[in-house]
Amino acid sequence: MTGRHAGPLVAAGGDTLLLQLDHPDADDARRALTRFAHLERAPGLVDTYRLTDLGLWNAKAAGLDAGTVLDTIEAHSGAPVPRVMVERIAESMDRFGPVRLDDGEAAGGAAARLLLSTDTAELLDELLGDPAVVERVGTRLDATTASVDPIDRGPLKLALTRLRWPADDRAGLHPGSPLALDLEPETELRPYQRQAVESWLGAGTGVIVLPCGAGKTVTALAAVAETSTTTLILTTGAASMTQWERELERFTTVSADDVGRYGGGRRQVRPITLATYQMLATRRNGEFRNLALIDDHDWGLVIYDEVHLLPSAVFGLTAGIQARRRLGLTATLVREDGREADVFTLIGPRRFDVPWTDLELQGWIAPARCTEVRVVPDADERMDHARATGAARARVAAGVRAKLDVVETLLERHRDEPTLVIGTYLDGLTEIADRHGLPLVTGETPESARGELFDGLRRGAIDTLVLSKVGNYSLDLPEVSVAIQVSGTFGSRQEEAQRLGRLLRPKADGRQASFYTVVARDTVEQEHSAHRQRFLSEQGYHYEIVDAADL
Amino acid sequence: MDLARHLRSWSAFELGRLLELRPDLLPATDRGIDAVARKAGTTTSLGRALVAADVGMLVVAEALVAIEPATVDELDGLIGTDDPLAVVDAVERLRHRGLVLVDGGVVRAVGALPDLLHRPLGLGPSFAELADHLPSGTLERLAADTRAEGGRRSPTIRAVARRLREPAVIDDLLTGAPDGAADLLDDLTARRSPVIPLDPGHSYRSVDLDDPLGWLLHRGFVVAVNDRVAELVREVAIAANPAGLAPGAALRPVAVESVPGIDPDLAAGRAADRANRSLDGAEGLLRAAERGEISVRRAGGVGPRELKRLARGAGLDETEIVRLLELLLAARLIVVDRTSVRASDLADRWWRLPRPRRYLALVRAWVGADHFLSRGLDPDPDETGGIAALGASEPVAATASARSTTLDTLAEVSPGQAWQADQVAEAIVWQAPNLWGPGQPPPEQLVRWTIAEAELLGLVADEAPTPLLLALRSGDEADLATAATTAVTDDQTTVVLQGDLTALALGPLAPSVADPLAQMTDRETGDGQAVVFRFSEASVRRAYDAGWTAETIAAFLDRHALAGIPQPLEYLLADVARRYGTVTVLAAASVVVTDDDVGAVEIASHRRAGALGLRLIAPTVLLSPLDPVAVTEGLRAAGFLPVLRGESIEVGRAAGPGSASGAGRPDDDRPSGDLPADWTGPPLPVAPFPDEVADAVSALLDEGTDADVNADGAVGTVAADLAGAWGRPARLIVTAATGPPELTGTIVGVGPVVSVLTASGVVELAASAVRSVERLDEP
Repeated sequence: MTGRHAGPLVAAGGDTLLLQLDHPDADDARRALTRFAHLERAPGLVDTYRLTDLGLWNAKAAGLDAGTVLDTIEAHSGAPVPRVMVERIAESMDRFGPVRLDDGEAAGGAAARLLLSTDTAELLDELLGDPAVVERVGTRLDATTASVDPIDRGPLKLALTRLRWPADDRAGLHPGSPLALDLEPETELRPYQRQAVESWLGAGTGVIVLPCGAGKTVTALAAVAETSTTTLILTTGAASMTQWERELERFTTVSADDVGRYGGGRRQVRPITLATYQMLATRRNGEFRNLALIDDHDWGLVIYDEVHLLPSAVFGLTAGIQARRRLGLTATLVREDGREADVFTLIGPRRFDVPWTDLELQGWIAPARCTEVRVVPDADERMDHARATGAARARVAAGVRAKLDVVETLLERHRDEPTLVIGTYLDGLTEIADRHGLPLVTGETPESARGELFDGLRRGAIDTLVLSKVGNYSLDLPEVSVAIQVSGTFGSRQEEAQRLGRLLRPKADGRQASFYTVVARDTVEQEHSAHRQRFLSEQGYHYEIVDAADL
Repeated sequence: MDLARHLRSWSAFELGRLLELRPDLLPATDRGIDAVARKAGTTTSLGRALVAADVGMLVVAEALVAIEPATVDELDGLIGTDDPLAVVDAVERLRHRGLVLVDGGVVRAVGALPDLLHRPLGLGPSFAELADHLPSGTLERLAADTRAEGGRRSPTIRAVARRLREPAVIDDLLTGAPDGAADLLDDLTARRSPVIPLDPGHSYRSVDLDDPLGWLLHRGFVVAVNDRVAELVREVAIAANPAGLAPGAALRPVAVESVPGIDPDLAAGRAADRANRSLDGAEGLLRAAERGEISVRRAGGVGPRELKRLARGAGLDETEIVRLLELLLAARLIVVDRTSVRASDLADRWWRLPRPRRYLALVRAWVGADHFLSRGLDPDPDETGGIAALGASEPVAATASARSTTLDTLAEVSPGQAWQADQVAEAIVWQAPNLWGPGQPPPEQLVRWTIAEAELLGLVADEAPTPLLLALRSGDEADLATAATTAVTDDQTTVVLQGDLTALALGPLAPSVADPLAQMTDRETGDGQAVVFRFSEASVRRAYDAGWTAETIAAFLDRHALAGIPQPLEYLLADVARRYGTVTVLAAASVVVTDDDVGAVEIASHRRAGALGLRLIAPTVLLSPLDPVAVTEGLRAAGFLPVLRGESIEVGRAAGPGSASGAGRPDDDRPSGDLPADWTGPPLPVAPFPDEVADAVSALLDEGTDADVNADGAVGTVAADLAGAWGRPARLIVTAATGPPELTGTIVGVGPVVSVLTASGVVELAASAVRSVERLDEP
């Protein structure tokens, strides 16, 4: 693309690396980069990687040092690394390692204490000068060592990460009780799934990021098979638990007796137990009793499905189970609350990530065409929008009536394809359902009725379903190939991605998925839409913008 | 003349070499060989030649001056290196430069050379120089004692001098010396040219032969040059040092041992990267200077704190900033005044050069610079200010030659080889130790600076020369241009536009692309190597403010985007364009509200109200950039009866006494004490309606003629029409080269610039561009 750079990689400033995809060595460079840099954008011609503290600490944890990182960058850029970047990398990587957590001796029958140690006495002084740290540290044993109650392991790590002195947590992980589980012989992992499992296996903690439809569940089950230990799987809800049960049965040799549900009226604790975040976060008399119950069992592995949704309360609880292997699964490790660092600290570093469109090109997920359809509010709607403030504005924009005609046109265009109409505001969804005589699934719809409708869609008995936010996650509808999004939760990037994700299972006939988002022009919705699309744009998806009149 | 005779026998090659080595002789060549020889023997010209002479030449020249004339063996013996071939080589180098003559195996100095090499090899005056101070009889006695040939005085002096250089003769002469004389002589000769104090009132007549010094004076080993000081005879010191006076002298060039193992391509790549980044850095500093952002401390120069700030901004270290600032100064791209560093007039021209040529301009400036870029890195120990740049210090004329010598040496290292850093400085200094100038840091330090500066410019890398350096030293302009173009990325004129509304520049952008891009995007990250820009609603709006339109931006991007404009960007441009200007903000300090539209038009049309800068923005509303008090006073002066309220001025028939809240008489509305009694009106607005035009227009209106108005605003009847249409809807036919041929809207400002409130906002145009005015509120 340019004469100045011999390699595919170009350093831009102190923390950005640009990967020129048209360079013959781009693939090699990408493989090398994923070890320490975080793919921020992959919009097409040039991928943008970012050097972040988290990425660099992750690399250090995996045994890379600053010299190796710099050599790698230099080798793939064909030019020396700019000084500002050298300093950035060295400064960041030097902060991982000097602070460690190790197992201490058990004394007098008490639970073994952990040891917090630092390279220098000055560093421990500095850390203990922070109120959040000192609160989680017990007795100072000498100049560079202090004892830590195991219960404080997570909170202490969080406090240290916030000080940019992340702890190298070397304290042991419980092996858990052995579990006989293998993948079914006919279950063949795809190369990227195998790579993802291997990336995670070494440390036994961390997050695997895979697009929707790319087989996160089977990847996680492979991780369970590799660790062969009792496993707790935390999910987003009952539908998701059902899906996990189905996948366990389909892909693994585990007997049904070894799989239990903890929640939804059942209290089964089995070698593989499914539970929900909501159940875990439920308090009784101010205590997380369910957590205590679960913590009393000898789990060797805890799986966090849709880890980007981990509620705040569960972060706190997760901090308490730091001695377990942990695997986070997500398609979109973006949190609008910016708590990615907490995921890093408590679940573990991102172990595997791949641009969505890479998998699309390899045929592992369905190709998708994204279209933003713009409708023009009428004069009254414009005035209503102008008068409204805050969330009410988004609601006015979401309810622009011209959207109804667009939905009609699109339903007509995709008459023979299984279709979802997805939205956030129930009044609009209800109107669409009524107008076209379509079934509507909302949070109010009983679980059994939901299951029937989803099954109907899977079987082909129903071809179009109107769906509220309940359809955002963990909904496996393999043959659905059209989604019409009529409204969204403000600028949520992950909602946009998850909704597209519903369409990405490869279709039996290989057809392309179509994702439409209907947006009211010159309203707050247009701004939100631009933000919502950022994640998918960064993953390589292009939105075609079409005016409603041109549909 | 000896030299002239020799020169006549020289070949063209030898003469050419002489002129190359001593270019100051060139002007004399017009006047023939005698003139050249004369010039070559002058102190000035010889001095220049000695500045460029190497250590071997200087040692041999000094040895020669000490005992001239001399054979090579005598010179070798005097120096003591026991390397006659090295002496021969050095003599040859001296001969090539016309500094010595060799005739029948005897070497002689040319012209005033002995005067320039005062106290050669640290020795004192020769016997011949001191002979005049000897009392009569002493010379004869010495001639007899040393068995030197007698005869006339001069041959006798020469003969004695030669004999005194022989240790055996000295030993003989010491026979019968008093105790302590031999020890004293040893001490004096060890010091080679000691200053020997004499007792006050010394006289040869009163010399005490029992006193060791008296005895040495009597013997002529030491000669009193006046009644206070005596000097040791040079030949005696020579005789006392039979092992030679400079046995450790490096007569041969110091070899630069190079080591293999350098990957020339990698080194060239590193050097190119360095060159690019230094150029980026220099350009960034020049931009900062253009913006007046580099401040100079009171003591002069750019101080440590400012350097640190600049370094942080540029991603370089302070040392590099010092050198780059000095480089810009050497290239005369910046000037330093008492408070800040500013860009010079040359900077504009420099920016217009293609990037590789901008780089070459800096390299050339450095090669010829009369100061070291690193001079600010050697802070004056008397000052505690630390390193600084651009501090005043005297230029050193030979700096460029010293730099040139260094680069020549570095260029000689074979490709794929690296020099040994510790040897190279010694080797370079050996070549011309006098070149580095007095009052500067030690030459070795200066060499290290030069190498570091060459590295900064990408001329060397990994202790090896780069293609750029080789091309530079070859003197071949075409080679140099090619090397620069290969190493220094030309300005990029293309960017990669992506669907996520980013634009990537994978290299430094040409100003013709960078400047517009800066108007329409925000820089997200990166430096000169690669920059990520982002388009946003705000950035595009900014571009529209600067006069861009969706069409002109799209055309610009079309020209410079590698793979076209992504659709989301097209939509962004269109979206912003659609909404741009639908709301217009006018600057106003006062609002004038009238009861009805007639009142507003009356005010707007009033001749004296023109000075208030009033613009009609709605049928009953006018805005003025002047403050409310001034407008109120102005309106009153024009005969209106305005009332000043909190946020607006109301003018109306009903606005009489008592109608304004809290107002008794109109004057009571005026804040007390804020206007002088002799106030005659408000200051003129920013773009005043020129008096001449105003008067001419009013005269025209009064007289009803259509005479031309000679003013910089509208002309003749057009001016009258504009004035008449002020505050009214009108259609203007426009003759300006750009912009629409006609405009329809309300005329809200008349003057040299006419403001028209159109459907898409206020349009301002030069009154002189208005060809005709058609009022739309009249049938």
